[in-house]
Amino acid sequence: MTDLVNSVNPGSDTSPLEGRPARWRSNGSLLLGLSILAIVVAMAIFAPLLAPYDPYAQSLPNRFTPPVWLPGGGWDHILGTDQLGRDYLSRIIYGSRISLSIGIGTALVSGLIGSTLGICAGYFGGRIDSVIMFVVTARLALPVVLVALAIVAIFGSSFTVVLLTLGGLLWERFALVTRAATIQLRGADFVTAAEIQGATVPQVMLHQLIPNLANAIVVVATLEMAQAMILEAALSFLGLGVPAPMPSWGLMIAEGKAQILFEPWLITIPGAFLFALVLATNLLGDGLRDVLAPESRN
Amino acid sequence: MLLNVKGLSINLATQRGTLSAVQDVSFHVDKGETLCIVGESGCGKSITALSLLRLLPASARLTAETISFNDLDLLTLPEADIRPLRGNRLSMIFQDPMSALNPLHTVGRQLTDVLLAHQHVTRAKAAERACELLLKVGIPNPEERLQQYPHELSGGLRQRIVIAMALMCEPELIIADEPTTALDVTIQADLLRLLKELQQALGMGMIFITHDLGLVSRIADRIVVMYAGEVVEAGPASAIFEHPAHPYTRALLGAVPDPSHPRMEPLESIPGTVPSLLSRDKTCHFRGRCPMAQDICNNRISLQTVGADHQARCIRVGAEDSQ
Amino acid sequence: MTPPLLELRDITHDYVVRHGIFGTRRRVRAVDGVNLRIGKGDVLGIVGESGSGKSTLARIMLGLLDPSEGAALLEGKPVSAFPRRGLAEKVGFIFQDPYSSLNPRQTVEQIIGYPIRLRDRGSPGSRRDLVRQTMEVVGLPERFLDAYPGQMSGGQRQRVAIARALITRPGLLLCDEPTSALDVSVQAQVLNLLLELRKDHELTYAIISHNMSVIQHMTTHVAVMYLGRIVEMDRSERVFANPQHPYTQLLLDSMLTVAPGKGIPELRLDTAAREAMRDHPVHIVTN
Repeated sequence: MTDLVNSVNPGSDTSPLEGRPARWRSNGSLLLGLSILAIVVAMAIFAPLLAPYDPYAQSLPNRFTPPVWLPGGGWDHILGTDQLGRDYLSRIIYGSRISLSIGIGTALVSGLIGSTLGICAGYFGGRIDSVIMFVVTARLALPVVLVALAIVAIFGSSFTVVLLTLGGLLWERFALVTRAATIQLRGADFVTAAEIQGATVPQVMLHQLIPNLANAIVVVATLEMAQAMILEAALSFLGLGVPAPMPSWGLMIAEGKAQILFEPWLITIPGAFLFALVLATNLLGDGLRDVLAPESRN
Repeated sequence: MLLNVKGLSINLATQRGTLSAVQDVSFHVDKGETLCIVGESGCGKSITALSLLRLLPASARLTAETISFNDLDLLTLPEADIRPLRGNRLSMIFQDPMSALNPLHTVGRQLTDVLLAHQHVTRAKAAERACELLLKVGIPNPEERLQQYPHELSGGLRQRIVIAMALMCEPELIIADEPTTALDVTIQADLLRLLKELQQALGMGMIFITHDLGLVSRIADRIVVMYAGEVVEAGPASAIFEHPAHPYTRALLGAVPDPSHPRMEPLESIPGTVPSLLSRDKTCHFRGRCPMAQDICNNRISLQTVGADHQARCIRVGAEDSQ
Repeated sequence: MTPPLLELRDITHDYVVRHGIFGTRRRVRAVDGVNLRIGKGDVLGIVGESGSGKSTLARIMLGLLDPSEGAALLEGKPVSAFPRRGLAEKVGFIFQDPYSSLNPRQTVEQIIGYPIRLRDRGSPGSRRDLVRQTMEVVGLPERFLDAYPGQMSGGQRQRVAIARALITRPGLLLCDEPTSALDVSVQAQVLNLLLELRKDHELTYAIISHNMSVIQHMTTHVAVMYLGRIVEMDRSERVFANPQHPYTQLLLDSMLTVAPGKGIPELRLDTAAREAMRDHPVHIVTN
């Protein structure tokens, strides 16, 4: 016995974790996405410190001041002012809070709904699976934007309504991914081992399944976040997203559209920020998938 | 000499550096001869076989002094000239028959396709040959089987079909990588016997890769024992089973539960684990697990001659004889 | 007379197979009238070809499957009468594949301690001590406590699996091909460990395997299964020395023991031979 005890050494050269830092570092899209996202997150957190003006403070004499690089612009308002004379930079900075919280909030709500349904469908199978898959199919048949518009039109537009609506609609990818992964894990011997030991269904899910699904869920969450931010902007653009005067980037684009021929920067500046944020989130999602769950690449 | 491999080394680029999977491996196979490559998982036996057909992953770098097949130099032969060899003059049988069969085509279609790809024959002639071979690998009513899809067959039948497929073009060399480990023991014995008979009838050379020493003792003419990417012992089967010279070979033989071993008494086990192939030090690779390791084992050692055509990579080879 | 540790009485089990979604249902008999007893301290080997009903039998013994007919009795009480957790404290299970049987996201401590965590026994500190003790029993150094399965070799993982099965101190350990996924040298380590544990902790084993050499080395009794029935059962030395049933004979003939130059034995596997095996009277000796 003692020779066995002394001889076994940790087979550290087989550690999957060891390869991680290298994979993190060498993944360009992950790094780019992460850096852009970090900047936006910093903007959102430190908005009161960074913003030069109150984003709601109107100053009608100063309407439509162009940004600093255009003739007539000045360093007082680096990104100019809007139709009510509000500082555009301050509104952009505060706007990041809305985009991010909609993105994260939606991912949380839809992740909770989708993962619960997906895990149940995959674990129980049979009739429960059929019913859940029918709900997923039905959900896929719904045009997201139209349904969101209808709901917002009924309940009135507010931040909470937009968040819950999007969260209630964007869960199908969570459900499909977790269901497929759960079906695979369901047959793994370690799940059977826990069942033999008398683990209850919630215990099996919590201890054995979810830790193995976490990576896939995180990846889907980032992708859904990007989706939600775009949809929020679209809803706000249509006037049914977060209500004015909140500084949502989508709302800013909508407010600028009347001036599109004369002051195109009113649209391009929030548009560029929205583009950068969504791109960064998508890059992060792709990069995370490569690092955390390369098996789910398709 | 049918196949001659000299100084074969394979490096794999991984995220954690270069992994030396195979190092300076040499062996040869003659016509009608069975060479068994024996070793445990990760010893480099399978990748050695794949390299002969040039089926290595893209991250692999191969170097060798010689790899010659008959008069062909496999080392320098362009890819376009290798392809017609595969499945034709050089065949391979894998452990998992399902991976070798296309689930979308009937067995008959797949068998005839092999022949049609390499020889100018009519489809009818090819089908005739397929029937003939299925009978030879012990499948009754072959006409019926040819119409079936792989999923309709049992594991044993599938592996028989894969063997028939490998034999369609009457190859000169057949490489079998653990072809029977996934099968029931009775079917395993039956298939091995068949493979051996066909080999002798057709005068094929065979490289048989396995970790099962009992099996090796029954079919091998010559044996190469691999450990951590290196040949640690090579020689005629009789010599290796009668006088195993390397401590690893001896330990492997002692570890197999065998009717000759007293029941319920401890088997000989090899303590420890295989060293990492990432950072090779300049010592005997088996030193850490060897019951007879000494200070002198800290030096690299080349293959030492034990007897006629029998070598072992152990410093004690000469010393023991003189005792 | 004390009842045997585990007894199967006239166990028959059918699976329902459906062809296609709307196809007809068909019953397939996996196990057909099996009787067997495992006495305390025995090592029973269960051998047979794939699909002969070995795994179904194991699931019935573990209480994961209710047989269509017959009863499985543990210490004289029906297995189905035990609560799941109570049964798990009496019957441990070792899986074939130590790569799939350990949760890759749990540390060795979490894996081995999981059965006692489920039972909410003791404080985290005392649980950790028990995990340590059990690791020592199976020969795992303490430094593995926080390792993940991915960082360990096959043999080390199988030790973790054995430790997990042993931590609730079951009297019976059911092993399904415990070494067939392991290398020869590691197989020897695990078999030695199982033999040693049996001696030190008075364990009883049921070992399912298709490796006749392992069965011969490890067992006191053998049950040979063919087409869902036990066709021969007796003490190991008698079965291996003097097989009574043609299927047992066939299994012994197909053993490839180390015998240089002996060649591959010729077996009769044709339909006539199979029919003869099916119709041959069974040979069962219980003691």
